[in-house]
Order: sequence, then structure tokens, then C-alpha cells
Amino acid sequence: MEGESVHSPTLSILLDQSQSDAGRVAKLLPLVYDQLRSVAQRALATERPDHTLQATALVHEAYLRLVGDRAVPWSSKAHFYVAAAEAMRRILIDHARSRGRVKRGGDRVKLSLTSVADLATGDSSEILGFDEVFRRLETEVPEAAAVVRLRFYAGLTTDQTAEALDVSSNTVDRRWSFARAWLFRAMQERPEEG
Amino acid sequence: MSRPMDIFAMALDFEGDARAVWLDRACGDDAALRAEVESLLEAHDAAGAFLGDPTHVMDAESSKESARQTHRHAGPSEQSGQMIGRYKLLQPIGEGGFGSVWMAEQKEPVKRRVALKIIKLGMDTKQVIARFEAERQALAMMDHPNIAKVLDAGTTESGRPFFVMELINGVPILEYCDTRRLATRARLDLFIKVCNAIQHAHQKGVIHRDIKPGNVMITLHDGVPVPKVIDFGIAKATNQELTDKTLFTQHQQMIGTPAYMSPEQAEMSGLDIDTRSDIYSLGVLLYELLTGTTPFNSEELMSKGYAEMMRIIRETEPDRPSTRLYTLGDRATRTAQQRCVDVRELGLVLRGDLDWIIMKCLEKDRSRRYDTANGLAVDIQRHLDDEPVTAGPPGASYRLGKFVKRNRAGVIAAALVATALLLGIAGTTGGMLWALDQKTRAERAEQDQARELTRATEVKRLI
Repeated sequence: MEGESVHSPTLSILLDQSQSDAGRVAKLLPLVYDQLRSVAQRALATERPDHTLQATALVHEAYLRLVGDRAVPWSSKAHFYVAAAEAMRRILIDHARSRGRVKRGGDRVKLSLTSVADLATGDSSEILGFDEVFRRLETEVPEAAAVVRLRFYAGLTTDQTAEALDVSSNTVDRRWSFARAWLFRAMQERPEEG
Repeated sequence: MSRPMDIFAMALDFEGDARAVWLDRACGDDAALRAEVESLLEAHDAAGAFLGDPTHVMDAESSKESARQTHRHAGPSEQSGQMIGRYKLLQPIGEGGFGSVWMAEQKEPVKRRVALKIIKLGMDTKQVIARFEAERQALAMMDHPNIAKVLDAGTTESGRPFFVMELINGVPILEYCDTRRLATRARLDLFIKVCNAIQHAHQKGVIHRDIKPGNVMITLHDGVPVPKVIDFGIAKATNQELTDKTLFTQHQQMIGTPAYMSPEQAEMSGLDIDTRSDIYSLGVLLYELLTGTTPFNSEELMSKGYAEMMRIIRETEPDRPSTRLYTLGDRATRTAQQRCVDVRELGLVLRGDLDWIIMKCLEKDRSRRYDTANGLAVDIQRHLDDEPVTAGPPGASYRLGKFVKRNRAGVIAAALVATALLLGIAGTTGGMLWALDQKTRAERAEQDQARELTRATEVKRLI
């Protein structure tokens, strides 16, 4: 009796077969965004963001809070991760904007981004710059950008990403290497701001 | 999918000259495409830790976890500088389900570098050493340029068995062939040398039992590739029976093996192994060298569960290599590229002789395989020399085809002579017929003339 009635709203959306993929992601996004932001804010408030602000951990925590530990088929879970990646991207942008333009120390682009943690704590102009080139990748080579979303923003492993996108792990690796080189080059070529 | 991405991703698999060759081929005259891919490759090399591995924290933890688990099984792990018997460990060069391999230095009685293979704990060390000692005499008799010598064996302080081998500075045969993009013929030449090594061991009474790409290394001697078969005697000493446990709990290295396992090794008893088991594994190696895949897909085997996996190895007939090629899709293109041909050409190369040779090695009934590794090598040489292979069908047209291919110049010359003769005969016959005809005509004309003359004489007389 109670099994069905305690479905969280998130779970209901995840399991709703009548919705299109894009529809489910769109419905999930506000829920995931709110939850993920509160999880991330707590993490950002702590002293050592590098130890706690790990995309995998944050997204996982948000997932547990929204869905719990029920068994959900991967095909449905994938929608959650797509939404979580987008939510994470927006949270990081908001965070960078709220801190305003930080004066840049050197005139070299640092290109030191190695994880979402760097996006949260790093130079905000670099973060906004990264988002800009990322969105360009999304229009030019969408399949490579999709891998970056899941791998980088949602912190999925290669295998999980492969499953979510329904391609082979090799393909994910190839797209990831390509996206990484592409983004790095685009970041280097970014015009210096005055 | 975007073209620069495909070309870029493939280029990452190649290094140095091979990469340049690949870019030449893939980009052709399209200078803009070439520049785009090259700039991405440059960015790839310069990117360092950029975007790193986003899951690395997680992975590091899970690998720590798995390392802890391995440690529980493997006991204390060795460190460089440590002495094991009379060998000083220098640096680790390999790791796998079996244990670890180290580069080590021997001081006594001769100073040299060796490879030291330390087997994981959990095996009965005494039995392993006893089995090794039993075969030691035979191993010592082996002396072949394509065999890495097994020099010594012993027990570490923590009670793990170790083996000392000639140190081979090389790469596994598949990796060598693919990065150099060797054509099928060059691969066959290397493979024949591997067969010769196995033949030598068999003659000395040693069966390898674990032939696979990782156990056939290629080293360069003055720029000439020389295969070296490693790990002789070790499979037997460690009595590597593939059980549920070793297959599913150990490292990938172990998991690679079932694809190379002969049907009799997959028998539950697993006791009755002879040299023909090595012939089977050689067949699998050749299959993979030529098509880039094994007769049975490793992952597919692993997904089946132990009993089903053994059943497949014992009962299922694999695809012929040329047939397999056509089922590979995109991978076939890649496989062909690594052999510097296109898929159609590669299919033509494999069809016929090489299909038959490989399928003869892979016979479930070992009495139908080649009797010896030498028999296999000889048949491959026959194929290279365009002679009929023993694995082939005995049909007359096959033999005739081979004869023609082998003696192309002779056959053409003979055909020309025959044609000339025929033409000559036709010519002379024609001439003769013409002459006869002329003769008849002349005679007839003469007769006519004579008749006319007679008639004229008679008329004259009447008058």
C-alpha cells in the first residue's frame, strides 16, 4: 500500500515512461537544481573545498536526498544525471557571478581546471570563460559536449557515461580526449580581457 | 560523427612516423582538416592535467580499496631495493592476476639483469616449486633464439614462489604489429618464428600451456624484430587451472586467457594436455594477429558464466577469419588500416589458405590439428610461396590455381609456345590445303588444255 504512495516527486518523474527524454530532464531540472545547490553550498562553506566539492559525491548526495536508495533502472537514472550535470553547470556559473569579477593576478590564463572544485574556487573570469567555450563545443560537436557534461559536471565514470549515452566505453574515451583537447585549445585562444 | 574527431582519436593510437602516415592517409589533400587535427593533437599533448580525470578522487579511493583487497590476498608486496634471494629488485615492470614482475639485478655468479616474476600468495608454494624442479631439467635443455630462458626459481621470505627469467626488453607481439601497422605477410613471418620456438620446446618435452599475445614479446636486434616466447614452464608449475575463482576474482590479465584456452583445457579434468594444446593456442594467436579479434570474444565469454564459457570453448565452431572480418563493422576498417590495406583486400588475403590453416589449428578434435608447430609453420611458408597448403581442399582446380600462381612466368611462356604451335599448325595446314588446291586446279587446267588440244586435232582431221 504505502510503497507506491511514498514515491518522491523525482522518482515519479524518473519512472514516468509517458514523458519524452527531454521532457523528463526539463521536469527534473528545477528539483535537482535546488537540491544540488543546497548540498553544494554546504560543501562550499567548509574550509577545504577541494576535499569535499567533488562532483561525483555532490551529485550522489543530491540523488540520495531526492530519490533515496531505491533500485531504479539505469535507463531512468541517466535522465537524473543529465539534469544534474546541467544543474551543476548553472550552480557553478551562479557562484562565479555572485563573487563578481576577481582581479586576475597574472596575465596568463591558468588553465588549471582539473575538477568541478576548481570551477567553484578558481578565478571567476576563467570559470565564465570555460562556460563560454563549453557552450561553443556544444553547438559545434554536441556528442563530445554530452560526454563532458556527464563526466565533468556530473562526475560519472567512463562506464557510467557510456551506459547513460548508450555508446561503448571506447567511444566515450575517444569523445572525451577530443573534447579535452578542443576545450583546452579554445581556452588558450581566448582573447585576453583588458 | 565528426570527421576531425575520428581522425584525431585514431591518431592518438599511433606514435611518431606511424601517426604521420595515418594523418597523410586520413586527411589526404585536405590541408584545413590536417591543420585542425594537428592543432588538436598539439593541444592534447599540452593539456597536462586540464580537466584531469574528473572521477580521479573516487577512482583513487576505489583503487586503494582494491589494492587493500589484493594485499589481503597477496601478502606483503615487494619494494624496489629489496633483496629476494640473490636478486635485488630494481623496478616493477608488470602486474597481473598472477602476481608481479620486476626488473632485478643478479650479482652472483654473474652480474646481469633479469626479470623476476613473483607469484601471488594463495598457491601452495612447495608444490609450485616441486613442479618447477620436476621440469627444470627440460627447461634447461631449451636453447633457442626465440625463447626467453627461465633461469631459476625459489621462495621469497614471505613464502611466495618466484621465477627468474631472461630479461626481455620488448613489447607484446600484437601491440608491436599494430603500432607498426605491419602487413599480413610481415605478421606471418614473425609468427613462423614463434612456431619455430614452440617446436623447439616441444622437442625438448616442454609444453607452454599459456601461449597468448602477452607471452610473445618482440624485441629489436639491430632493427630486426625478434619474437621471444616468455613464461615457459610457469603455467605448468603454477598449475594454472582456470576455475571460477581465478577467472572472476583475479585481475584482467587472467581474464584475457579463456579466449586462448584449448577445448581439452576446458575439459573439467584438465589433465590430458599435450603439445597439440599449444597448437590450438597458436591458432588463436594467429587469428588475432590477422583479424584483430580472437575466435571467441573474451568479454562475451566472460559474460556467460563459467560452465557456459567452457561449453562454448569445447563445442562452438568459431567463424572463419575472413567471415569474422565482415561481421566486425567499424572495427574491420580499423583492423584493415592497421595492416595497411582496406577491408576488401584484407578479406581476400584471409580467404582460402589462411582461413583453412587457422581453422585446422582450432579443430576441437586435436587429432585433426597440425601434429606439430613445425607442420603449421611449413604450411604458412607454403602459403607465402604460393604452394598448395595441406590444410586446403585436395581439389584439382585449387592445385592448378596454385601451380599457375607459383609458376606464373613458366605458365605464360608455355601458353605462348602452345599458341604459337597451334598457329603454326593452322598456318602450314592452310598453306598445304591451298597448295593442294592449286595443284588440282593446275592439273584440271592441264587436262582441259589437253582436251581442247585433242578436240582441235580431231576437228582438223575432220576438215
